[in-house]
Amino acid sequence: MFGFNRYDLRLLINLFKMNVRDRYLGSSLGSFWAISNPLFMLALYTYIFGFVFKVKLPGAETTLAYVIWLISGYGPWIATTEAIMGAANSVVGASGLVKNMAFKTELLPIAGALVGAINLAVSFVFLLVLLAWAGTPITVHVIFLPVVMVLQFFWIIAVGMWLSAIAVFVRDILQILPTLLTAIMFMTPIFYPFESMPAIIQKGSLANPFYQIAEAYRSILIGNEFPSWPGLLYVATISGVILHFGLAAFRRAKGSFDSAI
Amino acid sequence: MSLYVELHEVSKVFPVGSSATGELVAAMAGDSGQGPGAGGKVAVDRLTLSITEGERLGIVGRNGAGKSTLLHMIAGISEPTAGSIRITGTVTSIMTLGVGLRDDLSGRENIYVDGEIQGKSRTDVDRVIDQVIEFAELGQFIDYPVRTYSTGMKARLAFAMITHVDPEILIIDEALSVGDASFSLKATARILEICARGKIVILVSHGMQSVREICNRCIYMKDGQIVMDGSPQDVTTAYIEEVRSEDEAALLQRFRAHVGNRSRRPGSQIRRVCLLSGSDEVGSLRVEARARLRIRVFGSHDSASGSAVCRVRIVRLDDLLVFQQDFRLADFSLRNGEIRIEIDFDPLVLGAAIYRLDAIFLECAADDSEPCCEHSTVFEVFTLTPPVGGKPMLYYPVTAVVQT
Repeated sequence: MFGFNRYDLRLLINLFKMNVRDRYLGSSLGSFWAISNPLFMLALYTYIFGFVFKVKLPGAETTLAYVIWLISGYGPWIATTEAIMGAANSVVGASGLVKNMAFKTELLPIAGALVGAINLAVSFVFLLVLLAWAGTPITVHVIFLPVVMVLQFFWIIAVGMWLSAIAVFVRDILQILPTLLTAIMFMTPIFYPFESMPAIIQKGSLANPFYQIAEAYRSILIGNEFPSWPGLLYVATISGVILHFGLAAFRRAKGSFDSAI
Repeated sequence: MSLYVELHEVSKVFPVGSSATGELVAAMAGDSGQGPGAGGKVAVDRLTLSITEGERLGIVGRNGAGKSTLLHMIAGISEPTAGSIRITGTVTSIMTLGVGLRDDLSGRENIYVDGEIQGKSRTDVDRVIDQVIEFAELGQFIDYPVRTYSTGMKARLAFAMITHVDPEILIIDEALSVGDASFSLKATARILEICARGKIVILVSHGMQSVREICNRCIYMKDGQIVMDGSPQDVTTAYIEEVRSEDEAALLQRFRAHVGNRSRRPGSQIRRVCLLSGSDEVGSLRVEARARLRIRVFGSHDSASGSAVCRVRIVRLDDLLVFQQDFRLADFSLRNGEIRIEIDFDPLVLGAAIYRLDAIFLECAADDSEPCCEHSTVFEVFTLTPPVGGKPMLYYPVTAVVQT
C-alpha cells in the first residue's frame, strides 16, 4: 500500500519505538511524563472552563457533563498536536540517519505521528474513568471508535508528510507550527459547541477535518450515535488525496535531503 | 545472477546561493532539467562507471573531489541530479561511525538501537550481540550509559556494531582509523575480513596503504570526474605524485615573492636549479631532512673564466643565512660554455622549515660585486619522524662514544 512492504512495517515499528524512547530519554521519571503531561493539560482546561468560566452546555446541567464533553474533544486534540509536531520534526530530527543511511525516509513522519497515539490512549483512559463516574452508559457505537482513530492518524500523516519534507528546506515552519496549531484549536469547535459559532463560519467549519474528527468522537462517546458518515468519508478522501501527492513530493525531494539538512 | 553497479553519465549539482524556498520547489518538482553548470556546485560531473562482481574498488582524490557524493548516490542516500544508476543486490553502507548512539542508554542497549535503525529484529541482534560486545573490548562499561564513555570508547563501540554486517555490496567511507594503536590494527583486520566477504566493495580512503591492501581496482577522482582508472598500485602512485606536485605549486605560489629568475647581463643566465632528495632523480621542492640532498645548477656564462663564481646560498625564510659557498665557474664549465654544478649534501642537516635557495653568478667573489644573474626558489625540508619537545634547527650527524 502506498509503496510500502512488510519489511518497511518492521522498520516503522522500530522507528516508532525509538521515537517513544527518545522522547522521554534522559528524564528521570521517563515515560511517566507520557501519561502525566496530557493528564495535567486535561485537568487544567477542565478547571478553567468548568469551574472558572462555569461553561454550561445547552441540555447538560452538570459541570461534569461539560467536562466529559470538553475532554472528548480536547483529548484527541492533544494527540493531534503531539502527532503533527512529531511528524513535522521527524526528518530534521533524524538528520544523522538521513545523511548516513539509505532507507525509506518517508517512514519517519509516519513513525513521528504515531507517537501521538500514546496521548490519545491516555486521554481515553481518563475519559472512561469520567464516563463511569458520571454513570453514562457506553453503547455499541463505541466499536466505531477505532475507525475514527485510524482516520485521525491518516489525516495527520497526510499533513505531516508535507510538513516534514518542507521543514528540511524551510526550518521556519517548525517555529510557526505551534502557534498555528493553537490558532486552529480555537477556530475548531473544541472548547465551545458548534452552534455558538456564527452561521457563516459554521459552514466553513464543516470543511475542517479537525472539526469532523472531534465531532465524530463526540457523537460516539456522548451522543451515543453513529458518527456522520459523509463527514468521515470527507476526511478519508481529503487525507487520501493529500497523502498521495505528499508522498510523491516527499519521494522526489528526499534525494536532496542530505544536502539541505 | 551476478551483481553489478552501473553509473551512466551521473551528475550531482548542489544548489549554491539559491533561496531555501527555491530549493524546496526544485526538489519537490523533481526538477532534473537543471543540468550541470546551471548555477550551483557540480560535485560529480557526468561520471560513467561500472563495477562488476568481485571487484573491490578504491576511490582516491583530494577533499572536494566528489568521492563522498558519489558514494552517497550509490548508497541511495541521495539521488543524482542527472544520469542513471543501476544496482543489483543489497547495498550496505558505512558512512559515519556512531550514527544514532544514544548518550543516555548503555552500550548494550545502544547495540539494540543500532539494530532497530538497520531494521533488524531483536532476535537478529541477540544472535550477534556477544560478538559485538567482545569486539568492542569495553569490559563492564558495556552496561554503563554511553555518556560516561571517552571518545575512543564510543568509536570502538560504534565500530564493533558495524562488524557484523554480511554485505553483498559494501560501501565504506573512511571508517578505518579507530581507537588506539592495537584496536586500530584489529579494526583494519576486521575491515579486510568484511571486504573479503563482500561481493562488491567500494572504499573511499585517504590511506593509500589500505587502498592497496583491500582493493583490486582503484579510481582517482578530480573535480567530479574520473581521471584515472587502474590497478591500486598504479593509481595510488600517480595520485601521490600529483598531490605532491600540486603541493609544490602551492608552495611556490605562497612564497612567490621569494621566487625569481633574473638575468642582469646578456650571456649570463641560470636556466634551472633542481633539488634531488635521497635517491630521487626527478627533483622536488620537498626534501627530507637527514637524507642526502643534491642541488644541481644549470646555466651558462659567456666569460666563464678567471674569477667568476657561482654563489649558492640557503636562507631561512626569516632571513637567517644558513649556508653560503662560492664555486668557481671555471671548474664546472663544459666545452660548449654550459655550466653544470652538482652540490652534494650528505646528509642534509637542516631542520624542518621552509628555505630559499639562491644561486647567483658573480664576476668575482668580492662582496660588492654586481650579480650577472640570479635564480631563487623555495623549498621545504620535512621530516617523517617529527621531533618531540622542540624543533631542532640542525640535525647534525654526530657520533658519541663512551669516554674511558
